[in-house]
Amino acid sequence: MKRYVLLCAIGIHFGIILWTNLAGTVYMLHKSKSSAAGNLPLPPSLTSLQANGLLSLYAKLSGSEIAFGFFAPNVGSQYITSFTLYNNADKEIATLVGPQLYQAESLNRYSSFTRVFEAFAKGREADELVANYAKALVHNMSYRLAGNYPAARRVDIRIFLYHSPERGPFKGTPQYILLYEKQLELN
Amino acid sequence: MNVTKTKRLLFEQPDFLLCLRVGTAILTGLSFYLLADEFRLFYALDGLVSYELLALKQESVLLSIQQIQEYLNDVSPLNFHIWLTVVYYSLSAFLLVGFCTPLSAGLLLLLHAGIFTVIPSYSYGFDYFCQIGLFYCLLFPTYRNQSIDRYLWKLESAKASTTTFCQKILQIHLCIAYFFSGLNKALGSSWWNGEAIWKALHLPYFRLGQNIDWAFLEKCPWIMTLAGLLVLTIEILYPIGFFYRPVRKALVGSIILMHLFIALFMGLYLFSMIMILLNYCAWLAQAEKLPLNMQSRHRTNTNHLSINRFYGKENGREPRLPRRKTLKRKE
Repeated sequence: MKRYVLLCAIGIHFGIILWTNLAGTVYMLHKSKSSAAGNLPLPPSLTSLQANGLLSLYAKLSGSEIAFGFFAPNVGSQYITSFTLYNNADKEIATLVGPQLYQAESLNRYSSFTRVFEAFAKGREADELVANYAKALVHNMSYRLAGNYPAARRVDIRIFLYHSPERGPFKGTPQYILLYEKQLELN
Repeated sequence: MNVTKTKRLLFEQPDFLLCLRVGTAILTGLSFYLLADEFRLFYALDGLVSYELLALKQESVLLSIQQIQEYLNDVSPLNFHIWLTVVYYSLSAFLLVGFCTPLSAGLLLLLHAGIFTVIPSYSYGFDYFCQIGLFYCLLFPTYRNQSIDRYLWKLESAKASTTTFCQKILQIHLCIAYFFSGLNKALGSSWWNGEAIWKALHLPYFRLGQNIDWAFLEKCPWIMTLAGLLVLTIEILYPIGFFYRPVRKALVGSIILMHLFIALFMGLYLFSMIMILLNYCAWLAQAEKLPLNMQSRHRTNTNHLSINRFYGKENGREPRLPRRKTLKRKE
């Protein structure tokens, strides 16, 4: 009896892992073939099914909630944030490229955070909810960063997509493609 | 044959459960330590982004660290951070030395999840693999091998069959991880033509602090194409190592080398370390204790069935070597 219980538990454990990864692979397959990924029917995820609260909790604790498709199907882009602060006289006080981070581990986590700005990239404008969430995040972040500069009265937010230099005959320097720009008045 | 305990400690191949427990504890503590003062920038209530916005991404019933801080609103943010640091490091230390191992592993698992994965805005691959390591530290009998718990409660070491079984589970998990990682990469075109390698080497957040100019790779684009194809091959063929022992060492060695390159050229040190640890524990660490004189011959042979057939039942004792028959001269 104990052996059967153990086998069932192992079956459920690997079943969750396989299900998550299969769902992720199907999503990747659709994404690689169509640019309008937001309109494609997503395979059901364990974490989003309300009835499977216990399974989603188990997946969260066992680290099985995400698929293992890192840097897949292509290496994801990274996004550069820029916050330019101005005082009452419209004079530039400071230009911040995000928060001042000194630890490499912090940079890794900040780069993960900036993935949310993929919503501003071309082809994802139809996903309004995600884009609005990204805007809310960057606006909130700008208020927090400007809090360190009491004289700041306005902040110019810019989000750039980093484009690596081309190879071969189309050589060039890396490009920073402006995706989002906004001016906010600070009270 | 007598083997001293000192020699045994020095030259014995590390135990799989010990490696998993100690390595996971070290990396878990390191992930907290490497953030240093910037931890509060990401994971405090008064961090970089308002918690109310980040909480919209929370899909789990588990409590996040920010929710706990909100609940303890009488405690100042600084004191909360100090207490959190003490608790986190203490649990990592307890797991490291194997004191109250299941309890410390379980609490550390919940705390790690509450900090890094419940709100996934700042999380990346390392956090999830660390979660896997902690989960297996909780499930596997890691307290039975070279731990304070073992000496306190006078426990016997884990049976070889149990340890081997646990190692097989980890092996299967890694096989699934690498196979789907390779398969998903193969769905895109950039890993086939080397574009992915070029892009990965030029990502701005991973290049900060590096002074390597990769422009020389433009003269030899075949290097990047070959590297991309090698990554695909190694990852997709990784599960073959589970079934076919002769290629196991080559595959595991290649994977470890790949992660070393990721650490060196992309700065993803923690991610590479956890992957190397899990690969070492799954394939290279010893699942059963062999006597010292047998380790050089049977270092990679963890097939305890063949050994038991030769020496008899496994009973926690060292198998005795057979006596050599000596020919006596007839006088």
